[in-house]
Amino acid sequence: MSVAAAPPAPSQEATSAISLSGLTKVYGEAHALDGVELTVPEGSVFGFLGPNGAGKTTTIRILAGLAQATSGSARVLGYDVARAGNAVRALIGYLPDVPGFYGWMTGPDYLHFAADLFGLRGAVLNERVEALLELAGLAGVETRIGGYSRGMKQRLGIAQALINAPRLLLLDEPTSALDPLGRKDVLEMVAGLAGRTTVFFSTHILADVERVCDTVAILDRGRVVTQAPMDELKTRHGGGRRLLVEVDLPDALLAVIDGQPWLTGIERDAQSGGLLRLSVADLQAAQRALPGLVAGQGLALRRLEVEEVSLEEVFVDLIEADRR
Amino acid sequence: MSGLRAFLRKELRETLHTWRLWVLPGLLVFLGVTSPVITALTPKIIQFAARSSPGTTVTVATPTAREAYLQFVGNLGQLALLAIIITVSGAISGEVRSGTAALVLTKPISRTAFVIGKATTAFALILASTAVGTIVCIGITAAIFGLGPAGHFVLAVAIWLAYALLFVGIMVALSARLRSQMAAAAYGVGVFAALAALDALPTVRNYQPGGIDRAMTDLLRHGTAVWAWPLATSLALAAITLAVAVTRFNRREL
Repeated sequence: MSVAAAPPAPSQEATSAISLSGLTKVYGEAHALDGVELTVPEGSVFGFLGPNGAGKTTTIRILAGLAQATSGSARVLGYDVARAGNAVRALIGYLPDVPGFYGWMTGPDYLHFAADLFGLRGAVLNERVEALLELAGLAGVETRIGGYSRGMKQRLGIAQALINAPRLLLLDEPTSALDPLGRKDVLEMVAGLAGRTTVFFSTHILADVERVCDTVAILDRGRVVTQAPMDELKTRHGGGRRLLVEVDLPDALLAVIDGQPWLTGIERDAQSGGLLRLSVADLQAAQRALPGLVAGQGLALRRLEVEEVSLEEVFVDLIEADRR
Repeated sequence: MSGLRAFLRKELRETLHTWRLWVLPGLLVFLGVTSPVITALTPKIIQFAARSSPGTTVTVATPTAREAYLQFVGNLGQLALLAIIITVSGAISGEVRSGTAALVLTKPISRTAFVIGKATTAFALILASTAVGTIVCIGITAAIFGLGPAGHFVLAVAIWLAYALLFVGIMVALSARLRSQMAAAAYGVGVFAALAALDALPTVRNYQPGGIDRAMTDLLRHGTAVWAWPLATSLALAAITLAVAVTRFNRREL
């Protein structure tokens, strides 16, 4: 039996778990990916966001070796994905949005098969299978996979993606078809991996990203619109902060705050007429000035709190700006 | 190559746990049982039918083991090959369509190993099924007629296996290329018909794989046949079609 040629050695720049440079994928006339530039730090839980059809799944399929890029490069843990073959597959775990399993197998059967593909044997194999079944909430389930619910298949999917203790976990919309309990379980599993495994997590559910990811990139129409740590993203693109102010006579307050240098916008809450949502450019200046202005008008201050810009607002603003 | 070994183990278990265990083995055993039985009963059936036409005299030769073996190899060349075409037509496309291939091929198993694993399992099942069917046929034939030209019969079946291997290669290649199992089966039947038609051309009939069909019957009827070239071209084309399957599948997006 001939020995396969050794894969090309990983590049010296192996601190990035994923490195995409000019990545392009063309289907006929359509550019599914259009020169994507992206770097995913090792050890991060990385949220890859985008509207439907943005190119998230195409990117993940290229990283997993299921599709080929038209041009550009994709490196995973320093290996060129297009050439490294089994060398990179031994290091990654992959979960597609709808995982396909052999219906005649049971969950433990499939995990044993997956472990067998990685060359795991004996006690290591058995311990790992048991631990992953426990983690997936499938311990003791003897039903064949053909009889599993969608949520059970998704949890088994995460278990099989972890069977080789991967350095990089690629998850494509792992929670999209789950009920709230299922989503909670999957997100807790993902959050628990932080620091031990790099998780690259594509989704259009922003709440999931806010919950578990420390770094985010937003993809739209095949191009990266922005990439940043979560906090920086909100600060950079969120237009500063907002203050929620509730007083007994809001019209009186509006008369004195209009024209203040730190104020960039005012929104009156439709349900509670006394609640004002103030967009501010200088949070500290606003927090110092407001109590005085309220007291100066003889108003009762019922509420003053900082409201963070949500990821959804950042996302929508960025996508709309990109499309203008 | 641990990925290939693990995949082969899975394929073997899948054969034992699914419908695959019954279709081809069931068919070959059925043919093994029915070929000698039908051969033995055919004269009686013909004579019974002739009684409905008074005044008609029908003389039917006494069947022998040779006729039983001819019945079996005739069915190999038709029914068994069609069963192979249908059962192997979805070998790869089925896994791609169901998504199982995507999960497997993101683990340390190459696409080449995947294709080889599929072809190996398909041929191993054909080999085992044919062996069992052949043994059953010889056993029942011996019980009814005596052993007869069993040696030539075994040689004829062995030669046919090369033709079966060619169709495994063809169907795996079609399955690697086409999304639809039905389309692959349809093309496979087309190839089968084309190879059978080539046997009508005097210049190629002794060299092309379809000549194996004629070689099997010649071996049983005359004790000799032109089988070396058809065997060699079958094996060579089987290797070529498998190489095409590997090349095609390596480029396919999953």
